[in-house]
Amino acid sequence: MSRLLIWTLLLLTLSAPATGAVLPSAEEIQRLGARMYREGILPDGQAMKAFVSNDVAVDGTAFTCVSCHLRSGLGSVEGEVVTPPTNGRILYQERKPYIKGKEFVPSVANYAKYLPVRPAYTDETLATLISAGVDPTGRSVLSVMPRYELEDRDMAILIAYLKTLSDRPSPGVGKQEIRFATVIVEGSDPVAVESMVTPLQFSVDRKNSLAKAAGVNERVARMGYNMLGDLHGYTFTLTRWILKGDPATWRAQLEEYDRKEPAFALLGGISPGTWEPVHRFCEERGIPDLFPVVDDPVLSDTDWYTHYLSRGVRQEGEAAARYLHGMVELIRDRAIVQVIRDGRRGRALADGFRTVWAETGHTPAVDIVLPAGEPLTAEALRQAVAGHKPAVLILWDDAGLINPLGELMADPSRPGMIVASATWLGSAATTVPEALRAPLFLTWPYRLPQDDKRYDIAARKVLAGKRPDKYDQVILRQSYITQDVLGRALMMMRGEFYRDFLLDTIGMMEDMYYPLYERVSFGPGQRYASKGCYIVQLGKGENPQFEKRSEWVIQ
Amino acid sequence: MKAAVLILAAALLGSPGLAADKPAGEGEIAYIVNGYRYDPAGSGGDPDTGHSLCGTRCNAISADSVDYMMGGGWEMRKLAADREIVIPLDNPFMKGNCICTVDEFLARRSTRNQTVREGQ
Ligand code: HEC
Repeated sequence: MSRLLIWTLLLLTLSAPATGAVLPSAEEIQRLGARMYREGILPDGQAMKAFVSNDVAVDGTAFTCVSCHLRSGLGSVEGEVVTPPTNGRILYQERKPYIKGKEFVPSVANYAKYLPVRPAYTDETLATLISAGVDPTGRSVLSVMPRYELEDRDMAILIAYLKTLSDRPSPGVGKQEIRFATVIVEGSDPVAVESMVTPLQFSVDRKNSLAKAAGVNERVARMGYNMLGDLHGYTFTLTRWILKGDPATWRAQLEEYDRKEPAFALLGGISPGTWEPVHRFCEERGIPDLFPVVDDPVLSDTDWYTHYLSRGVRQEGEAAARYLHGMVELIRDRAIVQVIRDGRRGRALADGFRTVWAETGHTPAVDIVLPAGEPLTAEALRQAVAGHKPAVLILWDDAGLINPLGELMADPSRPGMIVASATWLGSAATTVPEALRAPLFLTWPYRLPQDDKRYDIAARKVLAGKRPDKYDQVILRQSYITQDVLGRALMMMRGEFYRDFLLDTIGMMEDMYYPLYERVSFGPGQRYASKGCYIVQLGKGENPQFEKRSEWVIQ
Repeated sequence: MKAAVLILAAALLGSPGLAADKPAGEGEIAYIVNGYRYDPAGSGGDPDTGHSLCGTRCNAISADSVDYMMGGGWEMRKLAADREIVIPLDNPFMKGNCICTVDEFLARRSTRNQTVREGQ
């Protein structure tokens, strides 16, 4: 008798059906089930007991269901690695090679292609699969999936949780319509707002004209179906959720919008200040928020629902620290002075620098804070320098720093190197006087403008013929990325419009080459798509270009 | 049929324009860096630090070929392999030059291949 068969028989007798256990409330099932599924932690707080290759005990918190079957439970096919869905809707359905009408639903069709036929699970056979790694046909999955030893009640909770995964269509998804919204915080620059919304609206309009064409033209409809599955016939809507007043009141405004016109996902979004209340709202309601245009995103290793294009301006401060770390031998015992304009932006830049500089093991820089609104003077700079004789002077301020800095450089005790943020200097960055260009190093978190020109055609397509000079070129490109990522993800999702699956799908996307950033990468759980920032200097002449002094991602 | 595919893809992806808006032929030189070394050039700069800084400095001039392709309709023609080019280190605390070993390319907007980019 084969080992497998012995196991099967053994387990059929041992694993008591999980149905006898009394289940907690639906909310508790969500809470406790999610903890088992995502963190590998049992309701009593212990780690789940997992075994690989049948009997090698491993830490259940390292072998979590979510790490293989994804948050949505809809699994994935990545090259050779096939992880089937583990949500009730699919498990309690027979798997066979061809189910009419489901040819393009990946959670059905893809897996039928790669995995053998099996009957529908029952609660009992599902408990056997999880505890013994044997499926209803007697086939073992232990070579690829751990087995988990669970008490009856815990098993019942886990199974009840699996039944709720990607079960009902997400809010905002209708029979033939998907609703999106974009959050606009009052007080945002109107040009910035239009630059953010226009590419999104373009994409929505294009999708709707396709749906319309498919509605009247049989051939377009057939091809649309082959390419996009059920998605081809859907129309999209994009509404603006405008937030007014004190950020403390946004929560109630968001709830009201969400109640009246729930959106499948928030696209873009823009705020001149904080984004935190929107981020929190999305986190708590489980609403995806793709790439809001903000300088100072919420940083978290565990939050799930908001994808940012980068870590914001902080990333420039971090890059400056990494760059200086690479030449620390040359600075040795001399000080670094960081002059910080008080306010969100200055603080984020300084904090980025401070954090990475500490992580790389260096003595902290000397921080000097400039009160908001008070112009920087050469005298203030001289004082900063005189006291500390720094090798490097970091100036986190706007273009107002250029003239006083020019005066400082005439001073014999001037520092050898100045670091500033090119995005904060804005267009003034390219009018820096020649004499300042040799010591001045700038952080620039985008592709160099001369190189990004190659992407103009792509980026301008989303303007549908409107004049590009009326828009903010950076935001336009950011929003280009948002609509493209969304389009690709929806296409990969075919008919499975679940919020968590949208984010799972983006997490499976390859690195992309887009306008604006050298590289945009996703990866499971990654929430800050662009990880790079150049250190640049200005070239010579009347219309100087940036010249790279570092790689995109500084190690 | 093909046109319909393009419309479908473009509908979701907002794909780049298909027509070249720049005359073909004009181009730019691009390098892909294969190696580097530091030359103190009489400055007395520390060779190890110099080597490490030249790594950053030379990598900074390296182009990413995919970058040229993805922008839509660019092609790269190799002009020379393993050519050595000398650039100043450009570090305020240390003089000397970096010698970057590069493959040299002429990158220009392609006249062929004006279809949607890969993956669409
Ligand atoms: C290391 C990755 C991994 C982990 C961790 C993992 N699984 Fe799996 N699981 C798989 C793979 C791969 C398969 C498909 C095996 C096969 O059919 O050959 C699978 C199959 C299954 C099946 C059977 C699906 C079917 O259609 O027959 C279920 C149910 C399941 N897993 C649930 C879970 C649960 C619940 C957890 C956490 C307690 C979990 N898995 C943890 C990789 C994993």
